[in-house]
Amino acid sequence: MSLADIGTSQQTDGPTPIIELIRATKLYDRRAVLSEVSLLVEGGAAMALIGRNGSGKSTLLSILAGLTKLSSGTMVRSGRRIATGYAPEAFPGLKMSAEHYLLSMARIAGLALAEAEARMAELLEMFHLEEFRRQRMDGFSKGMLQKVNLIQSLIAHPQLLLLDEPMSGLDLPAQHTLIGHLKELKRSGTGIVFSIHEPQTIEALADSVHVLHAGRTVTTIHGQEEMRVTPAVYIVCKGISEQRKAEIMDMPGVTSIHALDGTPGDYLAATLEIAAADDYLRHILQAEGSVVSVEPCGGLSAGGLEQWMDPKPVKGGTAG
Amino acid sequence: MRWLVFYMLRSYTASQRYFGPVAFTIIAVLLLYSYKPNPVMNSYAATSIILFVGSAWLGLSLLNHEHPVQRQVSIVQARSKLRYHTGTLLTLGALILLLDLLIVAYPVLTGQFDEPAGLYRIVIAFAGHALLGLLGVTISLYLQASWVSKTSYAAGLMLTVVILSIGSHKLSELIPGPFVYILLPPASPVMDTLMNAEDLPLIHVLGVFMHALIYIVLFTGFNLYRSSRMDDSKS
Repeated sequence: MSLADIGTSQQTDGPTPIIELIRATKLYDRRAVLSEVSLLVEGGAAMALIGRNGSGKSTLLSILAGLTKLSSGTMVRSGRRIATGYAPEAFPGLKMSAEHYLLSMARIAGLALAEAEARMAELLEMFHLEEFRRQRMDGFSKGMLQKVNLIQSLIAHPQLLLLDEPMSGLDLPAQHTLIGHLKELKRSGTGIVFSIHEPQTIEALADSVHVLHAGRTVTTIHGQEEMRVTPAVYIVCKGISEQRKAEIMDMPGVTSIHALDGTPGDYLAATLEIAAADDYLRHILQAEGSVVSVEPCGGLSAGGLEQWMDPKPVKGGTAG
Repeated sequence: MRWLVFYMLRSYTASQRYFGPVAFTIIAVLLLYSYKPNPVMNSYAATSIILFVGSAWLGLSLLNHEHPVQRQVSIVQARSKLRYHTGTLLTLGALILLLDLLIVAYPVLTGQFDEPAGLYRIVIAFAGHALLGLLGVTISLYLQASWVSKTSYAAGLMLTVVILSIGSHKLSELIPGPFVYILLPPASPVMDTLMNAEDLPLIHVLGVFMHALIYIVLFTGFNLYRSSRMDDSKS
């Protein structure tokens, strides 16, 4: 359900829409840096923005943060003041301590002093910055500044979290920590939008991917199965008895399996590693089931994400 | 809002950009009182103009002290541009009132005047200094980096407007019509009123002060309105 629909409908089941852009266009000096982009950010879901440098990802985040006005189009918010966390790119080394800065940001965002201190301590510890909290930030490395940047965006329990290249400058443990924390936030209902260049982060976190090229939407990919970095295969079958189903579900190489919604009968959809496909198909046939479809999905060289990291211009605007 | 003001003061003092305008204001006032005795209202008129110039400089340095990315984060945390800009204005107001208090109290406490200043003259001087300080801030609002991107242009424009404001009495004789009176900050009328406050009826003094206050409210209000609708970019 989109935010635009909410005004005309009483039904609010499913994910909660937080913010929606409808045909958003941004012009700088009469040059379109963003053109007719539409997207819906929902609570409990993460959207990745990908595309080349200059494709409009940062501008899009800046618009969602309320820092940049649209030249045309509409932005609809679920509330007047959504609690928003925003971590822009290239956070500067400030002439004050991380502690003073983070506490100030938490208090400005409306946290009580005790809560602000507790939350700051928790996040500083999580990112291993505890021992640097009283040091001035103008002596920090790029990675440490990025950690402070991320902490300030997370500190006030945002409903909407906007991250511009969040992994930039982070060491590997910090990247894992961040992904783990973002997954927790998703579970607690936060809507996340992030620009990214690493396919692994998309696979780990994103529920959808918005591909931009020259300010236009090239395609939108929904569902985590489509975003797998490693090559995989998606097999739909039917006619398998309940007894044999359990056996098939436990097969090695099967990454996910579920009954297919919206189809008649006992359709079963599975995503599995490509090396396990032959064995899986053999088992289905032996179980007197029939194979409905076999499709490759994900994979850096199999129509997966990498092609969209460097999308080609599309004639007439959108594609996919 | 209180925390936004605290943060702004902390960030500004950490940047050390306050040093130029504050040092200019204090040194100029100390120079003025380097010999005594001094006439009360003439001295206050002179220090009010020093505060006018110092405030315009102080305003410009505070409004531009944040890194653009830092400013973006502050705006998002404040949850509205209007709230952020209002917080910045309140910070400037607090600094101006502090300087005002110091400048007005210093000669009284250190016995720089040729006669006792008296409560009436101190109150008039405090109000006059506050108005001229806020007029200086009003000028700086329109010259901050989001309005005038080149610092050199902003500094040149600031000097020009300050000088024209101080000399607006002469300028209004050269340019007919209400343009000078309406557009230029009424620094000159406030200064003249402070100088002659003892001889002028209170209603005249209040009228001039009201003119300055209306100017400040209108131009600051318009600036707040426009600033809240402008893009905040990273550069």
